[in-house]
Amino acid sequence: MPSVYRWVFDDQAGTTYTVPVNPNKMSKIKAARAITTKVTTAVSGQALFWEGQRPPQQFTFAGTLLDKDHYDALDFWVYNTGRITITDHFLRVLYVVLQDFDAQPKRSQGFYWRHDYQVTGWCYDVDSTNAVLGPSA
Amino acid sequence: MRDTTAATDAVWLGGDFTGGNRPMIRATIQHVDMKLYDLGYNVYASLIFGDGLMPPRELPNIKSLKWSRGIDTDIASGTMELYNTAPQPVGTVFRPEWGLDQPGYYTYAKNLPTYQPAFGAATDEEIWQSLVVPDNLIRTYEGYGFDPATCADNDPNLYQTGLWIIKDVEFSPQGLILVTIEDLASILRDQIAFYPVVPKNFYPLYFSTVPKTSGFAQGYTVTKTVDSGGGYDAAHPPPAGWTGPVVAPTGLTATPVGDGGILLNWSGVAAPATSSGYRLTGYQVFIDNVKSKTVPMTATSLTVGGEPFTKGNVYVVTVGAIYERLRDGYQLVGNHSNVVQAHPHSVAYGATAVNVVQDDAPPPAHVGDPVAPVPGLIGWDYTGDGLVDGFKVILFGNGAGAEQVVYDVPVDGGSATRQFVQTDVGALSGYGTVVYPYRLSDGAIGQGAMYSHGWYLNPPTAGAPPHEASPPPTKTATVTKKATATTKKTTTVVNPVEVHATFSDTSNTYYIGAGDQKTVFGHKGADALDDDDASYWLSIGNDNPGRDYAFEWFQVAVPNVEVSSVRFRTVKSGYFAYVSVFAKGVWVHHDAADIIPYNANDPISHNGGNIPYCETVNCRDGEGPYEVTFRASIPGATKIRVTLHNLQDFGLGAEHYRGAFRKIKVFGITSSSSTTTTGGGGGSSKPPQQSAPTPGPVVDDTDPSIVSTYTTYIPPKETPGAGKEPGKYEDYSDIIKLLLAWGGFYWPPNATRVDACGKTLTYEFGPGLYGLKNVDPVLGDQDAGRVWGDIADTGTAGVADLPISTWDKKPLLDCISYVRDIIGFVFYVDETGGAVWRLPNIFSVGNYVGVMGADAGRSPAIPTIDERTTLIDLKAKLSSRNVRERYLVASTDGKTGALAAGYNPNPMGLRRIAGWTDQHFGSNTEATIMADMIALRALMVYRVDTIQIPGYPKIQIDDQVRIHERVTQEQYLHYVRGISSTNDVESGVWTYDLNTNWLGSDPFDNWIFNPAGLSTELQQYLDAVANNGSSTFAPPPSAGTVNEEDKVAKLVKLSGNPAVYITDGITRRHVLTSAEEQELLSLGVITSLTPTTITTALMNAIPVAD
Repeated sequence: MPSVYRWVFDDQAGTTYTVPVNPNKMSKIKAARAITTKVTTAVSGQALFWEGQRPPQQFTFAGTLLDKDHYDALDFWVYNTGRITITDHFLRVLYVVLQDFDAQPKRSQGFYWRHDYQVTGWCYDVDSTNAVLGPSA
Repeated sequence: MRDTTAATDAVWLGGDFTGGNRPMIRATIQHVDMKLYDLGYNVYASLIFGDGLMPPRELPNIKSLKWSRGIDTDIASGTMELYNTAPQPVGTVFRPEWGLDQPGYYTYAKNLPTYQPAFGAATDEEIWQSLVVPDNLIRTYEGYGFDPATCADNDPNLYQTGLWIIKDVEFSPQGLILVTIEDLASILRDQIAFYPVVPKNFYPLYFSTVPKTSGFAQGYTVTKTVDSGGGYDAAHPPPAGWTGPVVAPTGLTATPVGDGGILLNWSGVAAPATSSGYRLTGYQVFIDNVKSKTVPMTATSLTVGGEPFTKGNVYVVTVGAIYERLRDGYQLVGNHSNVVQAHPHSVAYGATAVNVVQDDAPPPAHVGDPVAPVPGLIGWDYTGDGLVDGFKVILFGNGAGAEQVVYDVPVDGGSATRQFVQTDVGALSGYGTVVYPYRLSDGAIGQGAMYSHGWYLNPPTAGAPPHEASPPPTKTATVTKKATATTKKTTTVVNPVEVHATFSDTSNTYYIGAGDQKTVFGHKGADALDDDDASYWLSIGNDNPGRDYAFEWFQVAVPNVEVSSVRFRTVKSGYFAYVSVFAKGVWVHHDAADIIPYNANDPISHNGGNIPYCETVNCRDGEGPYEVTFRASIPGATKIRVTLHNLQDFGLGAEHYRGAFRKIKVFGITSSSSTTTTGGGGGSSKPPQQSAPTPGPVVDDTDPSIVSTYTTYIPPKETPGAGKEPGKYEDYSDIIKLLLAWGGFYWPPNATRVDACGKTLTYEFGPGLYGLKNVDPVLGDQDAGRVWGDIADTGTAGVADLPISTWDKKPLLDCISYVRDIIGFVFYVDETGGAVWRLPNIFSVGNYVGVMGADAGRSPAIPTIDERTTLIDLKAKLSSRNVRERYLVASTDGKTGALAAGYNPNPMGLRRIAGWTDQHFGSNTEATIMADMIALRALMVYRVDTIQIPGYPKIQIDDQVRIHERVTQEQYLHYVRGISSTNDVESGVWTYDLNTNWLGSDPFDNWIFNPAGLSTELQQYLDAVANNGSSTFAPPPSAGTVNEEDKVAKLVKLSGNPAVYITDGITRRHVLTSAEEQELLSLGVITSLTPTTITTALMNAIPVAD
């Protein structure tokens, strides 16, 4: 069993991709609730809370890629897909639309395609049904 | 005001509109075709219940919805923002050239070469592209929370906030659709008073006042006094102890006169005579029980001819004497009868029987051989010995259906007197006797004789020849059989005859349509009227034979005849049948309670079976035929209906219990029915059995003083109004109803529509008055419907005509506004698309409830808007822009007019006068009412509030609300003049901005105007229009009827500070005077003089001190 689960990209149409190296950074994936407040006119009036639709959360993940295959894969999944899922290392299924792939080349001996990258996208749903407590021993 | 659920109320008051309580907008969209209803006398249009090409679809992607409606706004309007994209589901192929998801999914006709309204073969996307277009209907639903498991129409969290028609649709590259909507008042603006909206027979439009006659009239019974027809007046039997003279006609002879008639001669009293208070007034001749002719009392002969008699038949001719009882009026008659007349063409051969005697009477003096009165003896003299082969002796009992027995007594000549003993019927005192001779060689029969007791006994029943008694005689009732050429010895009647009956209607019509060719399992109406006994009419099925709607009927039409009986054959046995006769415009019955117990109010009921009936019959004798003879023949009949109950199991269809007729025939008396042929095997049935007369005196029906009575039920009736009388109106509201019904607000009978769940919703009127359909008489007859909405009568109409120029080619909405301005009513279209037309809700405390006309009512409940819970913002504004010191209303000719004082809370001597002139004021009273109403309207806008609250579908325009706000000193009732709703799904904020008019706290205490100070004319008008005649202007309610809200207002008012009244004695800022405390006590605000006894409810309602 792996010490850590690799991220898996899935377009749910038969194409999947398992990253060779997981990202090492990840932002929040759930948006804040759309709350609006008002208070009634009395001095002792009550606070009114309205809640609107919770929008998709812009989120990022970042890390290092070492080879061209990894680079091409991220490039493909960002720019050539619509709504996809990403299964992260907690085995949460993130429903996302990826928006930007920002890869910065880095010097590296032995890994000519090494980049530090950041992918930006929108997460509009999370399915934690199969989330795990940690990697299997 | 609308009913809202406790959950909705709790959310609104609680202020937490998050999570499951989030504001929600749902909407459906639908293409609907206006449906026209041509009633013959008018053509109405319905858009709400139009022909939908498809069920409504729920609109996704709603971003926001804004709408506003108001008393002063003819047409409510709004905007809806939609996202113009559809999600591209995960797993579908991504097309970079297209972009994310499916932008433009709802753009009009993007993928369609041309607009195509037929949706059947289109894709989902194409359907949408044909739906979000102008003129389609949108229903919006809003509330807190939602149920995704059900369609918008049924979501228990939501309330319909509008029925809209799309006017504009704007698409933007940014992926938004902006839909501009208006409510259905817009179709009244867009259609003008011109053909074809106004039907041909109403165009060009004009109106003249007519007195009020339309409406419903209750059914009632009337007792009619009529000449007692029929010859036998069972309703006037001899009084007990009758000993009046019975001077029987004697010596009656019948002589053929050669044309088929016979000459009757008899002996009788030749002149009026009084004896013991009675006198003879005339004679009455009967042929086979049917009255033939009354002759003057001075006559003792009469020629009866020439049609009634048929060769080969035997007739019983009776002459009765008619008496008048001087002391009690014309009532009593006696009679006697004594002759049998054989066919006149046969009498000539000679044999004649005379002087018949029986065992229970002393023989007449002229009987030569004394006859001992032995049981069963019948004797008679005869002449023509040697010419006959024998005699027929007929014994006939008394009463309807009494037994009749015929004996054959051969003779061999030589004897002039014949005695005949027949004991099988015992003593003969209960029988009359007819004796006549016959000859076998040619079948001829001779003149006979008859014996009867002192009072008239029933002769052989018409149409029912006595059965042959040999061998052996029996004592059964009359047997009806077909006369043939070889059975000449029959009896028959002159009248009645079968009446030509044609198909009219059946109880199946509502379900399968009208006509005698409509079939149920292959059986049609014509099958009950043909000569094929195997074919039959079959009703639709019922699930249970005893249901109160399980009555099935078949109706025939007859050509305005006097009907006497009905004969029918059923399929299967065991029914209970009702026979109804429609004569001279009414369904006839003999007792007010004789109504077929068909429950017309059952929702399943539709066949109109609850009509009066004349007779009933229990059909337990196989399939019949059943003959139902009316107790008195009924003239002027045009329809006969036979209704079956206790239906039988046919094993057909899902509902097994049905009724069926093989044949229905009607018999009656017509001018051409003098002859009924019974011989020759022509297949003609004999006439029905006559109802036998009750033994007793005969009444002369030509004597106007001899009368009888019977009861007739006059069924409930509707008198139609303006909808069937072009150019006429009884009430200004009639005009409004017609304009609405022409413009698309017609509510047809059995209206349905399909909701977004695909379920068909039925909109019924509910039961009407007196068992009639609950239609609006203004629109027409019982085949008409109503107007969708809440339309109140104004109680008045103009004196002068409303000419063509007032209406012609003007928008229907302008026409309505014209009437509205005269009357001072409000007009708007509510959230369900129903038109509202009534007085503004400012004259008494409370609110109208209900969202459509059928269930609209009034409630004392008032929504409260409190600064502590729901009041987000408030602006109170005073304005003198509409203040006038005087209002002048006058007719244009200057002959009528009135002046009303205006309302100005801050008078400063200005002389601002507003005037209104119109050619339709016919009296000073009308002008006074109008002037007062205008003054009130101007006053209404002197003090207005603009407030903001969380969205609350309970509140509608024309409602009253109570506002509590301390800075502006508000604790009063306000009139909701307008509502603007803003609901943004993204932010989740849903607010109502209300425009209100200050009303006060009580119409008789601190109200915007003093109702008691209104002119007497206006008070009377308001009582008549708004209060159904009860007075709104009675003294103020007693303390016992003061509601909690009013107690609060009173308490606050007395306290001098609306914000402060503390009961614990610690922070109390105003100390009530003793008088104030006493007043509060008398009002029930407090129960003792200790302030802490003020109820908790009151305390909760009083603003808390800061």
